[in-house]
Amino acid sequence: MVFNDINYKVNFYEYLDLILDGLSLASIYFLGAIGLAITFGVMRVINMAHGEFIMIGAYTGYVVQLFIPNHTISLLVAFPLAFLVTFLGGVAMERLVIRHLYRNPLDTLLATFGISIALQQIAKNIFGTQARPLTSPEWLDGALVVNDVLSISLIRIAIFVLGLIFLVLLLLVMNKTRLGLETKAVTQNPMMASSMGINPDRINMLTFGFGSGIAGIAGVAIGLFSKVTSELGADYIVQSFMTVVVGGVGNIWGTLAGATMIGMLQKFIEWFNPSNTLAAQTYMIIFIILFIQFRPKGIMALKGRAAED
Amino acid sequence: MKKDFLSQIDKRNSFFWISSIVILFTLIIILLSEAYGLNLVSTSFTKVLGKTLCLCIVALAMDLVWGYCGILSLGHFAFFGLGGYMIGMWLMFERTKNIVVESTQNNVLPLTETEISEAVGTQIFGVVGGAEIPLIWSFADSLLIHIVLILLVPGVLAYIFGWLAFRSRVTGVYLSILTQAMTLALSLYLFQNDSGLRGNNGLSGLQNIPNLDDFSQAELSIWFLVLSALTLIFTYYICNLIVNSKLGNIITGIRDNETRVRFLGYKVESYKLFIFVITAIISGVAGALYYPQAGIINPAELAPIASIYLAVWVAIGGRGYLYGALVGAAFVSLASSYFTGGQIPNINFGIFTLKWVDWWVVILGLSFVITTLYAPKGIGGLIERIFRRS
Repeated sequence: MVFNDINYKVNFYEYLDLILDGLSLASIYFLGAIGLAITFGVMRVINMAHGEFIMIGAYTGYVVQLFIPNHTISLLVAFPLAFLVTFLGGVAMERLVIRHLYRNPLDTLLATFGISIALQQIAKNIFGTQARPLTSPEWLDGALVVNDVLSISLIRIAIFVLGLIFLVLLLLVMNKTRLGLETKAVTQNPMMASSMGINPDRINMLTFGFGSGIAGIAGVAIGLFSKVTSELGADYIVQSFMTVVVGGVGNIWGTLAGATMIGMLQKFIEWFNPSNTLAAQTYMIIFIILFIQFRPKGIMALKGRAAED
Repeated sequence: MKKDFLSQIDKRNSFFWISSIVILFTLIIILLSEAYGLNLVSTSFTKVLGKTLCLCIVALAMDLVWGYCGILSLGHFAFFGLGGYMIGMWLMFERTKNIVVESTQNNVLPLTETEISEAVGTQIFGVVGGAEIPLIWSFADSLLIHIVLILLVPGVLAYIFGWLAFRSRVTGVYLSILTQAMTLALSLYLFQNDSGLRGNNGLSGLQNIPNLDDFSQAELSIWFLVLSALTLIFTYYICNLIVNSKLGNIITGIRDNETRVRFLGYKVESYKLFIFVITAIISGVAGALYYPQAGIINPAELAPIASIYLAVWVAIGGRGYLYGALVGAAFVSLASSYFTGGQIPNINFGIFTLKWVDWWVVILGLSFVITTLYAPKGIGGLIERIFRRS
């Protein structure tokens, strides 16, 4: 009887561990996709260079650490600085390239792919091919040990919390500020928005910059637990697009749902065959391809006029 | 008069021009080759040229599916890679088997079937810690079956994927992302050691054609060049036929306004599926010709970035012009291997030295941007504009 009880408890904590694993993977996917939720989800720009903004953010974190040895303070500096750098990068890109291509999203794909490989190579030329360290503060090194079965490393908790902060921040900006309101107006009907006194050019520029900036901050966070290389962003790009598409384009909650589904699913498949993460990723992608068949517009499809295109 | 010439280029006669150029080019290379000519073109460069012809074939397929039918597939290089894997399996198996049999020729007793298969298994799968020959290699000793598989495997995969995607009317950007996901899944799957295809080691030694050991690489490279050239001409003929037929009008209509074509009563899905499958098969054939010349195939070749490059070649060459796809693929891939080959002297700007190996990709990337911004119809569009004006 007692033995059963123990078994039951161990099982329970193992499942809990699995779910927490899934959640932390989900928050990583969410971080990777969050900038895209704006640039692709709201503005419908296929930004293949999104991954490179993540990479730039991570490298910004690394460079800041070269100047400020204290890891806690350097992180506090790196977050806003990464936002600033990638915001400016995004604005420049929107002004120079994307502005001319709004009519044809598939052309944007090609142009931004060009930017993406150029930025990757520039990073390789500057920082070399070997991975650069972006060290997390010491107080994130430990783990929260609940019992022998269940322990959660603090960095995973931090990533999760960061994901939540981003979500709240994004929701606030999109729903409660003037920029968010004007962005929605411009994406739904640019002509009408401009006759209401909104300058669509300016809004597009700011929104794209904002999305890129968010990607930059996410880059600092991603750099904390993975190696900072010039290919850091490229590793995330396909998954990020999938996250946004699965969740439902044009909806920040959708991106959250997409990330949760993909992350949980991958951990769950891995659980059957823990030694083979590659297979898990393969089956996860196949599942997503099938899922799109049944819900082509994603988990949270837009309804009404905005859905037509 | 000029306009007539142009419309001829656009229409059927472009086949005459392209095939003449390709044949002439092949003859010149043979004349200059190491094996049959003046020994001015090295074997390795002949292989580069042969591989470029294969890339031209897959670019034709991409142009047909994207430039004419409007489906921006970011997965056609996966079909290319699958074709390569299919021929690679036969090449590797047959050659290993020959080596095993040869090495035991002096034995008193000839090896039994099981012994041969065990020895071959250890040879091929030793690197991934296996000795057994996986089930998918069952037909690896038959060239005929593997040639059929080169057509069948990419075709069936494209059919299943296309049927699913087109049926639920996934279009535009979503389809691009979905095809990209398909490529990623395939390449991740092949990266596993127990995928049965040697994981990240891939298949190697493919340049050695079994049962043709008497011929040198110099001779083989020419044979493959000729074979690639003939396949390219044949593919161009097929594509040209499709594009200039009624079918071609319908698929161009689908590209320009899918809904309208559907309302006219055409089964849009079937047309798209047909084009998708046929181009996948063409890509598979191109891959099967490419990898024996490259010598090695591994899952990294199937990574999503390769398919994006393919799309970019077609974009630079000019989508919607068959000859544009050829020009784009040949131009960009040859330029890339030229500039990253390390043969070009670096340019010294005083404080800053421009190393081509380091900066070529940057220049390439920026030129993609400039092409999409200022020459959206690519080189083909520029050629057309020059002829139309004069």
